[in-house]
Amino acid sequence: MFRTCDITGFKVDRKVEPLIKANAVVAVVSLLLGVTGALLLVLTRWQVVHLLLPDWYYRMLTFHGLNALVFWIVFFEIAGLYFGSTIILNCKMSTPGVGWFAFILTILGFGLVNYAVLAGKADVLFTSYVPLRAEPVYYLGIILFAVGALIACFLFLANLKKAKQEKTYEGSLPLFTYGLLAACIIAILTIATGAIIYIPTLLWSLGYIKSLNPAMYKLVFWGFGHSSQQINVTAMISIWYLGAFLTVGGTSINEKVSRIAFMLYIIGINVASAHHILSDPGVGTEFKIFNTSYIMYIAVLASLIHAFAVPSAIESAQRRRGFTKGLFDWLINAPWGNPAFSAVLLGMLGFGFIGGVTGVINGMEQTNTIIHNTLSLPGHFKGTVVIGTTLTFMGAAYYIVPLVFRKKIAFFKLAQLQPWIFAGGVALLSSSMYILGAFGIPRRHYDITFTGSAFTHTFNPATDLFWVLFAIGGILAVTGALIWIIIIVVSVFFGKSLTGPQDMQLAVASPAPEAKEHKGLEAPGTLVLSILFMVVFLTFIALNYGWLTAMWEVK
Amino acid sequence: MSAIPPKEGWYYTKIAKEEKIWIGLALVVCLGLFATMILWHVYGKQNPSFTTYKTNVHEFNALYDAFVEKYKVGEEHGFAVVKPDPNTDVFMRAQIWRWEPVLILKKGESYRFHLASTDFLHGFSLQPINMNFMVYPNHDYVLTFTPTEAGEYKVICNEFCGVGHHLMVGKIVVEE
Amino acid sequence: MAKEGEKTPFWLYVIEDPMLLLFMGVTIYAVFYLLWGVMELSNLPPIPEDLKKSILGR
Repeated sequence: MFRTCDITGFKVDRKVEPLIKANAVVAVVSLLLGVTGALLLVLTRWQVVHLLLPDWYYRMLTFHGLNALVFWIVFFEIAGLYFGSTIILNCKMSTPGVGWFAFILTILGFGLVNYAVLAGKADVLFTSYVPLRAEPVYYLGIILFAVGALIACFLFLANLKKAKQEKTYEGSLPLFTYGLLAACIIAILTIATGAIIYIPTLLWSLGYIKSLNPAMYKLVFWGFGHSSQQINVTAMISIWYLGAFLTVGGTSINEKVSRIAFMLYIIGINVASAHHILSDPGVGTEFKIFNTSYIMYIAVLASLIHAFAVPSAIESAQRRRGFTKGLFDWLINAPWGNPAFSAVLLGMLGFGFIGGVTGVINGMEQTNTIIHNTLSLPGHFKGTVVIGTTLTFMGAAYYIVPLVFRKKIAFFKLAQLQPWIFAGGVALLSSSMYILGAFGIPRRHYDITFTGSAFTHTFNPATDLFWVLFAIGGILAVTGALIWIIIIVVSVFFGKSLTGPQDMQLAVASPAPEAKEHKGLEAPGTLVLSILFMVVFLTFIALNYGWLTAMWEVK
Repeated sequence: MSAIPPKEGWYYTKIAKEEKIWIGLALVVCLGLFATMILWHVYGKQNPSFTTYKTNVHEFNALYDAFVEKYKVGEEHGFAVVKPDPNTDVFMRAQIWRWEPVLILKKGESYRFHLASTDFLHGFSLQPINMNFMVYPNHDYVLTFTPTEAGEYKVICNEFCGVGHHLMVGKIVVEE
Repeated sequence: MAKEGEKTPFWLYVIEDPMLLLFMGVTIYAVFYLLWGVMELSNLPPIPEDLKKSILGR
């Protein structure tokens, strides 16, 4: 049974809609849990308040990590996978029943893990490095969740196959779905790795296996833990392309380049898990250099290609719509009143300038010594997974509410502001964390004054300032996230129904007109911005290597 | 077109000039980064080590005890204070929630550190210069340090190792 | 998609085939990260005897 969308013209399978909705709703619930944890953590680490006691601090850290980094994102991605493989392709869901089975498994996993953590049965943090031991129920929850997610990935592939067989689309896959395919492939190998590591860990926790090798555990765990972040990156970039299309009708100026970049991700991005064992004993230098360079940086190359392709798609479309003056007329006249557009744009800027730049420092063998396990690290991934992935998903939701839930967006004026509040907060939070880490402040640490210890260390007094910025940024980011949650919940459950295209608050742009004559460059503004980015990037790397020379010598 | 299939012949579209420039530049930078890591091993003086030995709690404790006995010069807050000869092997043990022993080193001399834990994973974080390495149980991580400046240094733990994690602080003194 | 009547170019063939992409992704990662890593970790040498002797004095 199909309905035809009166706004986009897509054929929508009525059986897939509730599945997408269910996954999206649980995603929002997970985000709410994650954000609640975030607030408590900010108010604990900022030691002027120092809210929680040590056991609850570490418990909340585990809770926050799992909900914000795993549940929120994966549930949202599952909704996205179903969306991209059915509605976008005008195709039916291959087996909705299995989709519901997967949903039940993920929900069970979600529930068990959160129960285990809050009941104090899993004070092992997100990484659960052995020999730290959680109770079996925790590992069981993770495994159930992973199996559910894996089934969702295979359903995505099954949908693609069905669509191809029934010829519901012509020629090649749309770029958005193609990007999701890359994400899905990375997800499959990620989850398979998760099985390799969590099943023995469960058996160990049950007492069937006597001991596990901690180095092996850490190696394989990051094959799961880091790759799962690569799923997010890939899904996020797919949404960037979709966002450029929906908001200004922009399409990649060269589809081949964008697709090859996605292929480079599939090839090279997964070995980057080695970033987590750069300062570790065990594996040798060749392993470290080869793998952390994503096999000679082919995945970084792919990211740089996407970083050019998405803004140039926007620029090219805008120029064809007549915003041709100067270098940046197209950007100034972009639809900033559309919260999905500002979310995508701010997400891109934040991801590139904060997450990307710091990520390469963290991922280089020598400079990793500076940041390893300091507060710089969570600072870095707030610049990727929060300002990048989370904000992008928030932006996407502004289209999902009217198009899938068929509701008007409540408090639309506030929604227009929300991406700015959130991005501003996270940018401040993330940069102050990165700087605090550079002063040596450790991550996952309850008390950096070391009260009660035989020896103590006093950090540079300049850190006091950055702790204040950290707190302001954190509270602002939490506010931005809560505003988004309120907007979405009120719209979906209490909002006005959408009766037709006239109720759409966001534009669904038509494809930009064809370029007239090709004179000069198609996206000069993007080129200038990209080169500016490159300068910042190289300067930052040079600074870090310079800084290394001031340290003790080590070999 | 990201939400609809691409136009026929998309594979044969010429790559725009600015995109070519950018990809070329990006490729050069990427290879440059790769070369940097390798060249730093040749010309740089701060590289994580090549050497890890397999060990076990019993063996490492025996080595640690023998090392401390040989070079012990005093005690501070219940921690042995140890002053090893330059160019020798130094054993540092991580255990909830202590870094042992307190070390006295000489500036400009090399010491072959052996870092291992006897329980969980710990993070060796040398402050205030901020150098960070991981310490595992059953793995002896060999890092040859040469202190370049005199002063008092602290080793804090930056990998979660239980509820007393934040109390884990050790001390290294570097003399002129 | 390839132009009418032409042979599909190699790279087009590669980027259009989901199963081939899945295979490439899994293999490269499994060999270079997992397998190589596990092999290195399982072949770590023990502490050399002469080092132990010099410390333990026997």
